[in-house]
Amino acid sequence: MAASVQKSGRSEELPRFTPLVDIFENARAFTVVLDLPGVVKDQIQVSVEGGTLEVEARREQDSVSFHYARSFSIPDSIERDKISAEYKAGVLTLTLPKNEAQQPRRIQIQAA
Amino acid sequence: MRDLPRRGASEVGTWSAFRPPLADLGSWLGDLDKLFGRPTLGAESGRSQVPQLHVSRTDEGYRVTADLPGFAEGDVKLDAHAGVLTLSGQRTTGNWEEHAAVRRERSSMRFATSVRLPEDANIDTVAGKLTDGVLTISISHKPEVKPRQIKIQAT
Repeated sequence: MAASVQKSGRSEELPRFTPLVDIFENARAFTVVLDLPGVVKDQIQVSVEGGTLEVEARREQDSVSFHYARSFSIPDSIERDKISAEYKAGVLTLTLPKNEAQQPRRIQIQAA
Repeated sequence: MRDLPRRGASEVGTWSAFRPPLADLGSWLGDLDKLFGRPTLGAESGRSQVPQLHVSRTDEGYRVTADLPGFAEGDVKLDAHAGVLTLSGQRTTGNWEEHAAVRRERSSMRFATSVRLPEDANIDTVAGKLTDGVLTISISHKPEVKPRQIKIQAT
């Protein structure tokens, strides 16, 4: 039986689970931390389309497969090209840098 | 304040079938002021995050698995005593003091949980391995007690 496949190519037949997330912010960036235990790094997809950041991962365990999926809307101030991701010990950490114009800048005051 | 894109909204709908929808989920950055104005703990924070132990049978004995994302080896303690396997631990969720928390759902997962092992599990052979945030514990069978044949000699 053919699985229904969406444009993005993922199977809709697999059960989907929402990973828990922490989100932090400082002057330079937002950091998104997701629990994705038991996933092989290659099975994680992070994509940005328009104003939406999407995280998807496939997990296979004891011949059972399912998806982790979660999406977030992100503001324009994020440098989309500079989003980075790191996977370690079952935790995915995304760094979303703010563009320079949004970052606090120290302005030198010159003596006249 | 920003409106949720249609596509984002439908994504949210997909997975909200599994959990009650969180207020403003998916618009965390578009709606910062509101998020900051109330406790940043997510709806999940009330939910216990004690890892579930899954016990399965293998050819060699038994396997117990538990999801422990973000745990280092030193964060987990495994004890086997009187046929009961006890797993306890706590993770550190990182140093974010210099940051503002926009959303917090991941707890420190401080827990202690036990499972009674089957009679034929050999607790002297318990071995644990932590890979990609999943703990796998292997336990072998007790050496089989073979029935001993006693020859009866005819006199």
